[in-house]
Amino acid sequence: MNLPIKWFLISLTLFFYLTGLAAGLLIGEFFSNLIGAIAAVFIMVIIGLTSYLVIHSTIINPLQKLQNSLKNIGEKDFEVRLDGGSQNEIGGLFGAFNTMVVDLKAIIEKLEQDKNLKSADKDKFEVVLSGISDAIIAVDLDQKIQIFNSAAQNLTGYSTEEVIGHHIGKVIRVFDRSDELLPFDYCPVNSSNSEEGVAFTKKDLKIVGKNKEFFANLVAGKIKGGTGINLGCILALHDTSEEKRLEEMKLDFVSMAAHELRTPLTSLRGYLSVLIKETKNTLGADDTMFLSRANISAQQLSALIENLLNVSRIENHKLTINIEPTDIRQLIQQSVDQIMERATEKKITLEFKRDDSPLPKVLIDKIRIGEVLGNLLSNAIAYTQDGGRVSVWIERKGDDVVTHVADTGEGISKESLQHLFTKFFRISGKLEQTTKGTGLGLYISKEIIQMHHGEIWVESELGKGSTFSFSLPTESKSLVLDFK
Amino acid sequence: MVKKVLLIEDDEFIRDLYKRQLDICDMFTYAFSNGADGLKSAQENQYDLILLDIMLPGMNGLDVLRSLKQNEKTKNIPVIMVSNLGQESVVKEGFALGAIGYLIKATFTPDQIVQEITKIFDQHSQSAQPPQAKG
Ligand SMILES: Nc1ncnc2c1ncn2[C@@H]1O[C@H](COP(=O)(O)OP(=O)(O)OP(=O)(O)O)[C@@H](O)[C@H]1O
Ligand SMILES: [Mg+2]
Repeated sequence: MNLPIKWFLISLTLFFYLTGLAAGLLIGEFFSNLIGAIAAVFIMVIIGLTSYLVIHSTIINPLQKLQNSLKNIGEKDFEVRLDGGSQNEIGGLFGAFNTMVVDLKAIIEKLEQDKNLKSADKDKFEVVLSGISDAIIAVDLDQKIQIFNSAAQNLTGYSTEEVIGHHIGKVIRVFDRSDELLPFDYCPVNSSNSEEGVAFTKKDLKIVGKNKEFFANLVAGKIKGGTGINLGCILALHDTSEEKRLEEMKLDFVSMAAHELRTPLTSLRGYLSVLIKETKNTLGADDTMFLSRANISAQQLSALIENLLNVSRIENHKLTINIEPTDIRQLIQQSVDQIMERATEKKITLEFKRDDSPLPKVLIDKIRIGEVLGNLLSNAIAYTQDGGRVSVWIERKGDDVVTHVADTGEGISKESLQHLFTKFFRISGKLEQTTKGTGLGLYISKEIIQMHHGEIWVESELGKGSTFSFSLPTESKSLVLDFK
Repeated sequence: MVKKVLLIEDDEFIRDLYKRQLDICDMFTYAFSNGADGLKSAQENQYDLILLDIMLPGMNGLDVLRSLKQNEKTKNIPVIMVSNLGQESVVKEGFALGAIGYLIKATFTPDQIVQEITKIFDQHSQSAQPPQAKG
């Protein structure tokens, strides 16, 4: 029995005792003798006892029951019911109490259920998020991070706690090669709620996190109706570091294989050229032809290897140029001389129409432009019938020098013209069937010319021949150009 | 005047081809297949020109170039790098270390290589020693 009830009981008993005492004293006065006094005490005890018993069974017991039941409820036992209440107030109280317990039970059960449902949803959401191998980052309308999954933590080196509520631009930095992208570009948020869907996508970005960087493909989507839940944009980052590493390994392999192929081929070509020169006047016509053909094939083979290597470099952004002021006439002369043998073999007249007017130097990588000239010249010779003509000339146009390579060959149809500079494109003409080619020469040439801030184009008419031209900047233009 | 040339190239055939061709063109060539031997010879002889392959086994071309430039006796000898296409970054580094030119093996026939060498060498000696005033 706890204290307040005990005190209540004691004070009640005391109260009735005093009442009894008062009654006894009154009676004692009346009889004013010993019997009277004894009777008074007796009455007093009887009244005290009776009143204690009555109070105990009608008030104290039910109260105690009520208190115990409340304690049960406190311990989440909703099965308690109070009974035995009579028709009086206490009985009414018990009835009300029972109804309350039933209602309470229902309410609590409902709440419990809702809570379970919600946390199951939340768990599912979190399990899904952390199961995704791509980094998922969602930001609110102020571009502050709201969701940051475990892949995002692994890739950036930040923990979720460190970044939630922080501006995305303060957490990661995004680079497209050397250019930095701003959150404004890669993480657009919607204020209007109108559009949704992919808002930004870019491959091979460098992402810098907390002392950590990686390469990734990024897809950003605006969230429709995001204003309601305060979400603006969701970013998915697919880690491509591993792919990149494999790519590089592949490139290394290609370079290595190419090197191993090149070295023997270089000496093969070297010895052939020495042999051709030294036997020029001593060998018969047939033998000279055999040697010459062996030499041409060796040249084609090395051109093929260089082409494949170049494409691999272009695709990996590894192609670089070494710009130096160069005398273009000298370079053209060299290229023409180098291919003269092949022209002679096909009885094609190859000529460089050069004048010696003063000409500024061009800013080029002479090895690469040498390759372009080689490509255009070998095409002109390959796709022109025996006995045709190939001419080369240059022309000044403002701050550029334009080089033209014209042939009297088969020409190119309008449909083919538009695909000419794309990778692996070849026309299925008669001459193409008899020459070995990969369809890479013009693609590579275009890339090289563009790296020099020049242009390359073609004019052609079927059956009449083609003229390929490219422009290169001269020294006077150097100030405004930025060679990478 | 006969020029004395040091050729450091690991591939035997290419070494032979270049040496042959240089010798025909009035140059006196010593050829070595590795950097260490080449460096030793550079110390012991007076060369007018060094042709240095970039891709060498063991001590690579750039290491050799660095040692050459660090040594009093050899630091003024002009060095021309011999390389393959696609080694531009190495070539750039070579220029930074003081090479005066580079050649790409696959692009030239041996006799063209000799022409190139003569050209680079002549340009270099012209700019290094301006013609003296006639007296
Ligand atoms: N001067 C030309 N006259 C007619 N057709 C041409 C000429 N130059 C190129 N072409 C056409 O364009 C195609 C692509 O040329 P490209 O130089 O890119 O490749 P390719 O010569 O076939 O092979 P390779 O990679 O060995 O150069 C050729 O196959 C040919 O059909
Ligand atoms: Mg071609």
